[in-house]
Amino acid sequence: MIEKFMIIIKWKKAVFQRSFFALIFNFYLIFSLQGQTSMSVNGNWNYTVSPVIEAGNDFSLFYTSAPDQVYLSADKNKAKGNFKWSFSIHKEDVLWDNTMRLFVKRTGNGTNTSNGNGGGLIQGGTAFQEINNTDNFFFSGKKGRVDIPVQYQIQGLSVLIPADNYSTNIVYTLREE
Amino acid sequence: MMTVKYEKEVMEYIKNIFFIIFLFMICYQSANGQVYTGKHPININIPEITIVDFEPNNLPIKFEFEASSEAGGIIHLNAAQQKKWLNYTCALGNNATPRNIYMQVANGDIPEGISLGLNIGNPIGGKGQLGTAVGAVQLTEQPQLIITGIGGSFTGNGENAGYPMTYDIGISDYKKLKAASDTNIKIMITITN
Repeated sequence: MIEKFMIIIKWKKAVFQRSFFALIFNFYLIFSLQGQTSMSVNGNWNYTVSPVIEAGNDFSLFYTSAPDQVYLSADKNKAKGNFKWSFSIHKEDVLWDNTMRLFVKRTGNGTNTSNGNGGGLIQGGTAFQEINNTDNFFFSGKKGRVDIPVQYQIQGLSVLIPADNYSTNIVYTLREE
Repeated sequence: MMTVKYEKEVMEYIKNIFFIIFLFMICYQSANGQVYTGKHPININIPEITIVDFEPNNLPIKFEFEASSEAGGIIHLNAAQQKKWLNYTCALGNNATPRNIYMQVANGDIPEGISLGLNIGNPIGGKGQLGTAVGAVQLTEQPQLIITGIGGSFTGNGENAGYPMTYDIGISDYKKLKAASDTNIKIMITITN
């Protein structure tokens, strides 16, 4: 019995000594099982502030975009594995006045792409949160999910801010966990 | 002796297994833990805005002269002074010239012997660069500067907000007075840069 076991060990040893091939095999195995991750951000928000209707008033306290102003997607072409992910968000100003504050929230769950394989999950981000110049957690999920609708709100607009075309880039970061 | 040899090989076997597991974990970690970014712009356009109105309303102010019941008495006015409030909102670009407000008689003539003055007080409430009132002016058909240096600002809305404007009518020359029925005068306000 021991002799038989030793024969198996010797055979395995010969295989293991080819560690380089084992490494290649591992990469192939892992990546082929994991599949290719993809993310997308579709849409933007161009807004001209509504004119003041009544003389003497300032602009409204806030303006809100359409509920589906932008769509986000986090997907994997072979999402049968345990695909966990999270979105974080920050802004990179091009021309901006710091009295203007941007907020974001998730207004829907999007579409689950796992086709019933494990159900999937999406959580967080359903209340307005401020978008800062430093990255902050937005929401997270499991399994692939596309067309997640996102809404923006701007606060702090005032006629005291010089009239101009202000611009900032909203940066979404998808982290696969 | 035989046992020692087997132990050595078993240990080597186990070491190899751990090595493969280690490689597997590295591969797994590299396959996961990936970071992807995407972005889009948000563009907010704040246009230049200037809007002005009178409060509490745009209804006419009525001045009525009454002859004295006593010979030799002066002509009476039902109310020599009446007040309106000027409200405005002004949004300007960084390099925009501050705005000025002018007023003038736009339609109709002030009856001869009558003077129509306007007294602009300091603004109440509001925020921003509200400008400066010139004080008292006589309204004529020529534009009269009444407020200067308005920047991005808003006065607040309604009565008791913004600039109080008191119209002041009087008899400037008795010799030129003539009896007349209603005379309508339109006052025009203009904001310019």
